[in-house]
Amino acid sequence: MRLVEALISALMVAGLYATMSYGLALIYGVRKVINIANAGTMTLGAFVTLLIWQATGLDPLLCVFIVGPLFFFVGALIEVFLVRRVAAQAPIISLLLLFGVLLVIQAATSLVFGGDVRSVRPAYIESVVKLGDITLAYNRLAVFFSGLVILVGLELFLRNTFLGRAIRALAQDVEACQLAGIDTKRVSMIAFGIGTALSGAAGCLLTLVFAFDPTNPFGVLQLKSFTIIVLGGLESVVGVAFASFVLALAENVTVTLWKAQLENLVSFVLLVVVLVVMPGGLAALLRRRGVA
Amino acid sequence: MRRLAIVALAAIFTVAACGGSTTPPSSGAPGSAAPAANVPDTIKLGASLPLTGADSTPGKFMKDAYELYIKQLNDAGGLVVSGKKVKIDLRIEDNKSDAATSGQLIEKLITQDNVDLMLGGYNTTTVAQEVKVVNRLKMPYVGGGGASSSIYVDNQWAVGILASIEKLALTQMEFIKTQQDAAKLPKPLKIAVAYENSSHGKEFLAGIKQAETASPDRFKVVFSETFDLAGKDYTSLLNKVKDANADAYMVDARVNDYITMQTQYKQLGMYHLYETFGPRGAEKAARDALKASSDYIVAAAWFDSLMPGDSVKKWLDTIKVTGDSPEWYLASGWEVARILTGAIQKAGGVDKQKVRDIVFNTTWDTFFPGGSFKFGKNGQVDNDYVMTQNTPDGNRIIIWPKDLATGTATVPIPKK
Repeated sequence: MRLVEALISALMVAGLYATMSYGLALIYGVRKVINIANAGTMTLGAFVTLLIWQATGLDPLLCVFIVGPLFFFVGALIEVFLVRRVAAQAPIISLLLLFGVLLVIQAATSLVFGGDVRSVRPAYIESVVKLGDITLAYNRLAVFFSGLVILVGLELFLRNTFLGRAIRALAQDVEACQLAGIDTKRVSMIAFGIGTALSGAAGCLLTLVFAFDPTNPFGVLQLKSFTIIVLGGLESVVGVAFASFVLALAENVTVTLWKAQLENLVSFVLLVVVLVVMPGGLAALLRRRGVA
Repeated sequence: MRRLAIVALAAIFTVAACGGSTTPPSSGAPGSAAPAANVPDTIKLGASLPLTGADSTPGKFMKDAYELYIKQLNDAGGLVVSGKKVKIDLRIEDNKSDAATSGQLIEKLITQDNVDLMLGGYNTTTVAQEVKVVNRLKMPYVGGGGASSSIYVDNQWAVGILASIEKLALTQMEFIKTQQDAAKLPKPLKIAVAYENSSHGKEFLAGIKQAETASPDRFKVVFSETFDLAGKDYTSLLNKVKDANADAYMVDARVNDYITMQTQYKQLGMYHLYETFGPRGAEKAARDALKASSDYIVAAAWFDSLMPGDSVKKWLDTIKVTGDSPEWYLASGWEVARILTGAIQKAGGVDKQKVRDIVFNTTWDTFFPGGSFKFGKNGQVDNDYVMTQNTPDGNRIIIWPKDLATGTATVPIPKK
């Protein structure tokens, strides 16, 4: 029974992991930069959600519809005024630049909100659904289904719209895109904006699960996002969702059968192993096997 | 290989981004009979505090306490040292809630700014770093922001006014004994322990185990497991706690983890006769977040503003000017400043060895529980903790020690 619970818990956590990793994967796909500021924009998304919730009582799930568009513009501005300027330079430059953005966001958030622990607690926060002996918390179900909706929406957008196909094409070959007449600068800006919007939306959703301050707990979660996007294949949204489940399952089974303190170790061992043994991630493996 | 390098660098950057008398003795208390010839016109005191970052709230409170205490001294003309009024120059640096940075700042304060003596910082990890530096540079240091006894291993120059985390656990176990004797809790009490993966957490478990060894007829630890800080999901851990069928659930966790874990505890419909999160429970942030879900949780702290007594009341009146709520770290900052300036007076100056010896060998009066501080050989006090229990009206009462109690503990916790 405990293993079944671990499996279900892994599914819930996977929704959380996937939500915070989609943006990272999308931005890497198009720009080939690791958006290390992702944890910062998630934190900022959480604090904006807190402000909206305090001012209006609007549910964090609905805050996504405000934070998402707002952060799209934030992301677009970061791409145009910062990332684009260093795009031609070595990867370490963009990494340093986005690290700087992360620190600026953290410092500014700390300055404005202080270092206190904050939380958003809608009325249903402790409500649960009982399925026999299995208990499912509303807040985690909400995050899980939001992750699922984002996955489906993102996949439909990337596969069925011109802009989505342009983003996918850009992720594969920049020069070919330019030859085909795609405005690569505009598409990059939009992709970065969408990635940041997803990150802000993840911040909204994470307030349902965590108490937070300007530095915690999103920094630790970001490290897990790295594992997920490497495992998922860096550029694949479906791969990210699948990798999120694999990571969450590995963690939950380890905690259930062994010790809670091994949880983080599992994810980072997985990161090292995947980079060495399977650098293309699960997506490449599935492609080789003709599954995807 | 390029991909490996990028991800590794990104990971590194992410990790890097994440780290008695209540009045100043100035005019009234004369110094000892030491000669005034070596007394400087100004004494420089230094401190490294987390004014930004994760610990900025306690850091700001400690800064406020230090500054107010020194301001009162200076406004009265200065600290009287061997009959001479000496101004205090307080230099506070922001360590950004980072232990390594704090170590560097302490070294800078001592070697470049030439401060005479040091006031302590906040957070076990950071204070441990600071204590290492002051021992290397042989600088007296009075601290009020780190409790783990691991801080004071091989220590000669620092003292801390916070009793150890083992003592925190032992204080709770003493309280539980009274509840067992009153037939409110069973004997032996089956205890499940979950503790954060840090020296703080390990000492919490050690205290409980120590009580179990001393009184096997009273305590039986049926489950103990450590967890990483900033956890995202405690369901699996809590299910294991559930399987342990314990009577009491005792946890050592930071505020974020406490809120996340207690939320999931309630979601899973768990219940224990006695529940504690170590020093956590009464914090405003946690009470605001958890509301009724934190009712009846028992906490132990080094000080609580609800403590009766004139000295506490007088201190509360004094610190009103800061506008800060009277948290224990505001009180500890005040007491740290009082002890260090008191030692300067007794030493008749800032001779480091002399100040150090006086700090270590004097029994200092205090408004903390126990009424006095006597530093052990390692530099740490062994005072009792004050225990509180959250009440359903959103407040708390002091339940232990008996002479400070402001109400009767509700044990076992009512099952809703």
